[in-house]
Amino acid sequence: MTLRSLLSPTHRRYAHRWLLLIPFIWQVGGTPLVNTAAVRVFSLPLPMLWQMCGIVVASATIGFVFARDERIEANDEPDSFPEPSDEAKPS
Amino acid sequence: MILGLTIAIVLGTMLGALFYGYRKTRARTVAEWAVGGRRFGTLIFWFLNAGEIYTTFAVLGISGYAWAYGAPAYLAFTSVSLAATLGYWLMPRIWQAGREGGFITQADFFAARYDATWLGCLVGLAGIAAIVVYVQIQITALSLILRLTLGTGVSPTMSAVLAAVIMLAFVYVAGLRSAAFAAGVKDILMIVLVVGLSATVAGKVGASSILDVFDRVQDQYPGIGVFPGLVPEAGLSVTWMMTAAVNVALGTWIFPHMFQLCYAAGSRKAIRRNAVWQPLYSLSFFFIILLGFGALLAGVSPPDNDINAALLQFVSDSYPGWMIGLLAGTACLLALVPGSVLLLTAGSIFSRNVVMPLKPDLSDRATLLLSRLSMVAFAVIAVWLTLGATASLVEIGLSAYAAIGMLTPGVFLAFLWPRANALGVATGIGAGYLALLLPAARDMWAVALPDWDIGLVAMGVNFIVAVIAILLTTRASPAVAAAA
Repeated sequence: MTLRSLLSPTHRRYAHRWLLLIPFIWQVGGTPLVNTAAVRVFSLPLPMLWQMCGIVVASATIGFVFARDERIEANDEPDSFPEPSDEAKPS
Repeated sequence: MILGLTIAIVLGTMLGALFYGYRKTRARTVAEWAVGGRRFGTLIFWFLNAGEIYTTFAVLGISGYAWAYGAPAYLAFTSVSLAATLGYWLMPRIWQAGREGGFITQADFFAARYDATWLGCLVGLAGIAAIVVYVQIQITALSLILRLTLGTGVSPTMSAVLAAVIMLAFVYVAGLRSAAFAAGVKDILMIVLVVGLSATVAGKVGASSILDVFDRVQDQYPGIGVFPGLVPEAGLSVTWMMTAAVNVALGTWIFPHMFQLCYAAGSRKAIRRNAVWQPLYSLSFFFIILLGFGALLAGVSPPDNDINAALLQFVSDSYPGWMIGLLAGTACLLALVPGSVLLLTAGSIFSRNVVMPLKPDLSDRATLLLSRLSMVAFAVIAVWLTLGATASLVEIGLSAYAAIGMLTPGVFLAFLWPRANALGVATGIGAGYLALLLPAARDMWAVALPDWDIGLVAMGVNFIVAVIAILLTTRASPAVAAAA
């Protein structure tokens, strides 16, 4: 895994991994945008609710990326991503 | 009653862990003892992971932050989700490197990847330094609970020493496996407690519902729900939140015990699946913040105005004795589980990466003994750091993240840049420490980058210096040039 190899065809199919930036954009980048006491949602301060939504967004994003990775790697497990034999559980 | 229940919870868990550890296997080698024999399944791995993250920092520290400052407590909401997002990419790489190289410690990884035993030694010491700061959190919390249950007649020094003794006793029982068992017990007790306290908190502070607690606290303390919170001069602004959140995310997996936890995973899939679900667990910080706000509405005043004691004081003021006992016992486990794993990690790093290179002919038995003895020394240093310190658990936590951030550039460069070399990484670490520890440097950052998390600033300096040093000391290798 190198910077150069990120551009290779092997890694182009992992382009969906860039989605992992979403939680950072939401929870870090969004912080100054929602820092207002003027709005309460369900009595909660907006910045608090924002961060809680960010947690759900993070799980959803990682879950989506996981599902894509599993699909991609199911086909070519042996050469590019050797899975250890001691994991027997289906996803 | 309080004392009895606390002791029952801690002793019961220790006995259970003892039984569990013996039934599984008796630890004979450092490898077996420290990485649990590399046979952790998804479930145990998840419990162990949760045990690492839902710590005293989160429960006592964050509730105290909500009580004293308000909005800055939201940092907890970013601590798990962002670390898991980054971990999804990073952890499998660490796991694979560990499996291929047969590594036990993080310093093994540095020594092998950068082909320099001396760098392994340096990284080992830097890792131990960060661990000792992290153990300080656990000792601080544990001695707080001891004073709550035994009475304030016990001096802070005495309770800190007692806390360290209990922690060492806990870890000597059976290594990682006992921590996994105790983490399971702790998680269940924690859920029972949080549900019980949250369901009743509104009634205790005269609010009509949980959400009414939030309305009332915002009405009575305007500005509590937004940055910079109740104490603007503390510098806990939006900038602080953003930089601290990034620094925590970047540092989480770099802690030697977390790094080692990646080695212990059974498979890549177990790691990834864990990353998917782990953020959701951190929604439970909602209840921790709720209880912090509840304590504020109840007008609690903990002894010495100790921020870390806000939640304990609130429960002790408003709830019956058995509830305090349950909280105190659970909070002990909360400190003991990560504390024991941390000491264990520091011990194995010390024997393997600091002593072994100097004295390579040590037997496995002697190594194990040395590893166990060194932990006593680290616990003593942590106790020493605890004495006279009055910092919030969150502040101590951020100091630990700042300390471990020194190793972050080396880990990322290892995976991303083949040219990265030992000299460059070591130069970066040196520059990072200067940026972090020199008073003159700290003064400079305070002016140039107000409210920035100092750990992130030092990590940035470290990274930039490392990249420059690598560019100066290497040439593009033929393999990379050919690939281009």
